[in-house]
Amino acid sequence: MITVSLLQILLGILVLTSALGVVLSRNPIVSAMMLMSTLFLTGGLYISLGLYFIGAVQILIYAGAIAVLFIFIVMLLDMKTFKMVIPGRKIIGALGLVAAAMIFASFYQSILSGQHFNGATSLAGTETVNAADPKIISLHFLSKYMIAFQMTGLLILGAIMGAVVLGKPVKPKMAGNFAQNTTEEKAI
Amino acid sequence: MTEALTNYFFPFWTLILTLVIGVGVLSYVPVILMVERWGSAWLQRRSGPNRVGPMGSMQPMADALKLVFKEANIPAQSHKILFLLAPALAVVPPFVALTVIPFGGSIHFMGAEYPVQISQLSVGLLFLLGITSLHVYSVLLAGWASNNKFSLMGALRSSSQMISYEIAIGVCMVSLILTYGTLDLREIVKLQEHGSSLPAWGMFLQPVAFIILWICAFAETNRLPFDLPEGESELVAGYHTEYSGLTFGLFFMGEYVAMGVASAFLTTLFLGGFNVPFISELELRNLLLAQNLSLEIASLVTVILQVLAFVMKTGFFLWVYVWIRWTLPRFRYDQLMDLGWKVLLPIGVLNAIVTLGVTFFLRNSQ
Repeated sequence: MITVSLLQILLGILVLTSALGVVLSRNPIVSAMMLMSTLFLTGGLYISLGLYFIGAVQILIYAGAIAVLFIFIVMLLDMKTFKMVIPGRKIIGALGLVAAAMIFASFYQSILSGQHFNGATSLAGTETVNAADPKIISLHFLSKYMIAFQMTGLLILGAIMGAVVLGKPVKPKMAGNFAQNTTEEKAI
Repeated sequence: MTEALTNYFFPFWTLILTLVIGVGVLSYVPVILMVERWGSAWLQRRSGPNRVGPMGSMQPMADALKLVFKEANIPAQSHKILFLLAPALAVVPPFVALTVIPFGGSIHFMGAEYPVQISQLSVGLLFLLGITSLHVYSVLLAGWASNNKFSLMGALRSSSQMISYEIAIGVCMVSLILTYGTLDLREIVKLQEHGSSLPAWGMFLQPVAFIILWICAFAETNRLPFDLPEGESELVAGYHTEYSGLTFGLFFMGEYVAMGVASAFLTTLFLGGFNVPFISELELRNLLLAQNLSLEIASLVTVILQVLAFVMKTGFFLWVYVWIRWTLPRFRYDQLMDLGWKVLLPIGVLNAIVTLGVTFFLRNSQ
């Protein structure tokens, strides 16, 4: 039996509101701020469920670091000059709605059945103590989920290498002023 | 803790504690302001405030009144909501961070223990880091929403600086967690309690991490020598150029509260937190109990002594903030980035690896 407190309902409503704000606001900075608030409030939701470690990590990594990078990039790109001109917006919107409904239905189904998501049992309060302990989480990472954990590390390494390759300035083929100018343009 | 939770008075205790700490921190701001002004006058041989009140000690009140009555101007070209949200975000995270800091031991009252800490979170260390990392949003939003090139430049400088130094902090945290083996700030303080010997303090166990974190604390609070975001010779006033009146006052207050939180954080991790030096909590209480005091009074006096010790240790770090501000010149931007990425980060990683090795061998030899 899942018991829900008033605080969790309030946090849930706020999460949904800010998630809607991400999609609906026209200003990219406001959108990015709404994303940050969604991630932060999700952390609050974890903490209210007793999953302190996951909540703190969520705030530290997602709200504190990743959302900052989003805002940073949006500011550097100066996206406010772009206008929304998308042909066939209504069709795309309708398709998106269908996709969202399908994803929601599948989540709802799996949470209710409680088979695919082992987390659902811990939401009910039976395993909260275990899931909140960093020691138990790290033991799981280094035993049962070792391969997945290492693979994630490999994936991040690949992403970092990709970023380095993309960020590396292209070597000029010709010497002199002309070549320098083109590289500068590419870098910009 | 579990006994106290079931106790009837516990919610009231949390409420009272929140009020006391909140009011205490709000009244700390004028004090540190005066220390800063007197300190600057003393260190640079200037007059300092000497008009309002005895020795100019009422100067913060005059400043606050001035800020309240000045117009909080909102520029026409700015994004109004984000412009007003930024100063609020400068104040809220430091205050939230105060909830997990242990200010003292526990008071015994009617058979239950009441810890002088608003929330004893099992992952307090990570929570504190996460909340303080939200401070960067106020700077970013202030810079962008002002629609002013100086503000934006200041905000970009500040956020890249804060993100860079956060990485060094994270690496230091790894070595600290390896040393203490827990994320609970209260337990970390308890581990540093070692009766009559000083070397149980984190400062002696992790000297490298201590120095790196201390440097990073300056960078995270945007204080000199790392105050490039508001370098007045280049950027007018940096990210808060367009702010006036109380909106500026909130940034001002946020900076001082963040300084206090950083100092309290360093105290908790490295200077033994609320432990009174040379004596453990139990010894101190037993000493008081021997004077025919009841358990309630003895624990209360112990807690008062511990809070005093905590305030004095935090005050030391705050004084060093003031001291450094009026002594050292500002870094150049490339020097700042070099220090963060090429000096502090490699040393921090090396320190973490060495700590890992030492911890491994100590665990195995036992």
